[in-house]
Amino acid sequence: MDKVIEVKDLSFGYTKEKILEHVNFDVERGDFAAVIGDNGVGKSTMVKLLLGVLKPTEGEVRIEGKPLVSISKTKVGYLPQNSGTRAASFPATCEEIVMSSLYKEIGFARFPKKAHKEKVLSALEEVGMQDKAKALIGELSGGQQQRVMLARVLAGDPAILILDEPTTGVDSESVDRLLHILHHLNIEKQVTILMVTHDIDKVGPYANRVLCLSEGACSEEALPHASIVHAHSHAHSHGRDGSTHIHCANCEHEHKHDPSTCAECCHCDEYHEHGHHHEHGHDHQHDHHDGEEKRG
Amino acid sequence: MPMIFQYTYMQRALLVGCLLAVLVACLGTVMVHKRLSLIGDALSHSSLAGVALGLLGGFNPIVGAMATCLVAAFAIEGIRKKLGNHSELAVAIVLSTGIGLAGVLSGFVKSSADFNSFLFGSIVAISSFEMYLVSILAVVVLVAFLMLYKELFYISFDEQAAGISGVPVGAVNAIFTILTSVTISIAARTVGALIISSLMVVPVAAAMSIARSYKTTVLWAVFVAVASTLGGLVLSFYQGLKPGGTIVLISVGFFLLFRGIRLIREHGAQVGQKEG
Amino acid sequence: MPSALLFAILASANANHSQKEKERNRYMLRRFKNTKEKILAGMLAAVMLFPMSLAGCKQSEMWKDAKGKVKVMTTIFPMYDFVRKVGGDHVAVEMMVPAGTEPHAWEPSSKDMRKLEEADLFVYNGCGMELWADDVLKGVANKKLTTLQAAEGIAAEGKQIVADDPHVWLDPMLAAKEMENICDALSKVDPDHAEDYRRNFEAAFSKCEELDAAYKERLASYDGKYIVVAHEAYGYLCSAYGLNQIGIEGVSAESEPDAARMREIIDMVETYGISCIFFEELVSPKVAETIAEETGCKTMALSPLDGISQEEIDAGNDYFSVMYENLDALCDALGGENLG
Repeated sequence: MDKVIEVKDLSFGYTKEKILEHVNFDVERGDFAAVIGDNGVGKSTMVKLLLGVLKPTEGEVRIEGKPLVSISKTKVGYLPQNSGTRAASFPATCEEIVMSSLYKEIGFARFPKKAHKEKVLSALEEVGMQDKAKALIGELSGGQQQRVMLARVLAGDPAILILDEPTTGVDSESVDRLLHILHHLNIEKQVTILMVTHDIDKVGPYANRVLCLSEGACSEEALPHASIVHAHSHAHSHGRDGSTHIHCANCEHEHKHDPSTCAECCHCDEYHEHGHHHEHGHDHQHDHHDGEEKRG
Repeated sequence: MPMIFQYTYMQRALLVGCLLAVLVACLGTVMVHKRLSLIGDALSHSSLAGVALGLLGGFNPIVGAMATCLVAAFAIEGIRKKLGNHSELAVAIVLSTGIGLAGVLSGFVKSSADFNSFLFGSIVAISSFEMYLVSILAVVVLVAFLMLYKELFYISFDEQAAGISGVPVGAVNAIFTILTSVTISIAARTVGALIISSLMVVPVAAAMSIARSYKTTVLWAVFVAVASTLGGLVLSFYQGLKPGGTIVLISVGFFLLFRGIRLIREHGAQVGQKEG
Repeated sequence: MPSALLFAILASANANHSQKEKERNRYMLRRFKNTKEKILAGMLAAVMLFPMSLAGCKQSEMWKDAKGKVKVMTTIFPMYDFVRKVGGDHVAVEMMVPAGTEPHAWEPSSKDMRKLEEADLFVYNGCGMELWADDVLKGVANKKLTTLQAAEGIAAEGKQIVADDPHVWLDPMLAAKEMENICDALSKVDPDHAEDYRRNFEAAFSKCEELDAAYKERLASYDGKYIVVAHEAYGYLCSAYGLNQIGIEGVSAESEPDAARMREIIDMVETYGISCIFFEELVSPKVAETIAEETGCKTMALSPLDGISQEEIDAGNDYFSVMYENLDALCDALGGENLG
């Protein structure tokens, strides 16, 4: 399988106190991964680490197999939290805003050409906002603003989409619409999606994997490290292969397993029969050592 | 030829006034959206400290003004990043430092005639040297603004996303900071700090009320700034009003007018919605 | 924070505690749980003690070298110079408004006020020159302080009063009147040296007469001519010698004229064939230079004496030397006139 995001032994803290400690997980091409976790558990910090805005204190992030140096050199698109409301006070049209993400194609200190404009329009079409191309962003509804912001990300042709709480502050209908668009991108265009969310009820049906970032959610004896990406018990199983992937931080294995047995999984005694997953686990370790000098 | 063009000082006032209006409106559009509206005040006050330093240290006060302006502008950029949510405090801190420093240093300047001549500019008293200086400055800043239009738009819209998309945020910010401080230090000496710090903000606020895009915001801001400058100079010439104050008040008039238009427009839209 | 304040007060209390008090203080100190709080409290104490330590300065230090002399506080340079001339060695003179400072908007510092509390005589010009003088005098507790408005009694001299123009001294004979007022005030404050003051005054008076004669003689042929000045400070000078002033600014010197005034002045310069624009210390020369450039005039300095710089004072310039310089400048400007 083609791993597009690999997080290995990732730790981060502004002070000595770690916000994230020894986090491991990876996302494969075509995944729609939902990252859940309680408030304050470090979800936003995790996103910043994935984007390279923050540098990890330990461990590393690999995007499409290469250590993350500059996110601008990758095919990652990012939709920040509350992106719509933050944009609302800015006097710009949807077209102008979407155009801004074509920065790399247009080039430094150059002007956009006709082809760029067409690309902007098709990105807006993708989110169903082509009629509002000339409208001021501030005059749109919250949901529409968010879709324009998504179009901005899509205009850059991302292979991987990272979204930070896109369902917050948007009405239910808009959330459905947004998820529908994302689902379409995921299935039709094989865009890998990693979405931080607390709204698992809405997102769950579209996601094929659920990663739970928790601190103290599992008992400390069983889990020596404070922050762990952990398989989350969840009723949905809408993955492309019809199952929910469960990721266990302890044994670093990927299991296709009934999530209700999560607690056992943590003890890691009975799942080693998943041969090829095991292999993956070891591959991770090797990669990790190879890339170790890159961190810091 | 109308009387107003027969006088060299008026020709200069109109030319330099319009050039600076265009420049300052462009710079202001970026500054307002970076939430640094008061940077004009902060930098022009800091440049006073530079004038005093120049006179005390025996070097050209204009050079001193530019130097302190640059230091102040980069200090604002630096502090702004550190303060996060309270980034507007950066301007206030630098403004206070500038005023304080200028106040203390000016106490050591023996001859106040020198100090005054660098302290206050007047739009109706522009020397030929200043005219050439402003013309060169205008070309440089306008070219830079147009070339970096896309980058500046992106950074002021969303600095983080701009960085992620590969915009050299640091470099663009640095270029822009340098241009802003050079413009303010020269313009404040030439036409006065009042005109500069006001035209940086008020036309942009007026433009934001009616513009339908970012591009038209810039164009409207330039229009308001130039129209206010011309209007102020004409009124000053025929009616004997103080030029600086008149220019500023006309721009405020534009702001009120544009807000009014927006209110009517919004009201109309609401009525239209109800009827529809 | 209240505990920190308490500590500050304790810390600021002086030494010589009894053992009991010391123990109590130590107990109070323990209430500051950590070092940071202790440092903060210490800093607060230092801040509170700072002004107290300064208050210890002896007031008499303000007037050093003034032993046995009449301590005279003056406002601006002409007053300072006149007192110096009349008082001679018997007075210690201080100028409140620093050289090169616009006197209208200036305000005295607390140091100036302390000096005034110790002074014997306060001399100001009046006529709206020192707008702050009334407030200052109200705030002074010094009972033995004599106050003199030097421009008092000008009307009785039979001269025309120029409304709103405090620059009385630019007419040498009115300067002489101011010196006479100063002489009277000094004699009242220090009767022992009244004769010396009178003698000094008479010497200065004859110099004033000389100056007046020189002005009359050299300006006689320019009767009714116009001069362009930075601000309208030369009303008394002009009315004494038959000149007319065109001020770029009004009586108060502001930083910026309006465009219409500029046009009027340029038109007048051309109409009257004026060849020189005067600028002065306290007003930016930029406006004068712009008009000069527009009309092909030259620019020259003409001092109203209230904004004279410290360098000029240090170089030994006084009222008479500056007035003679002004006269030369005036003759130069008027003599070089284009007749046409």
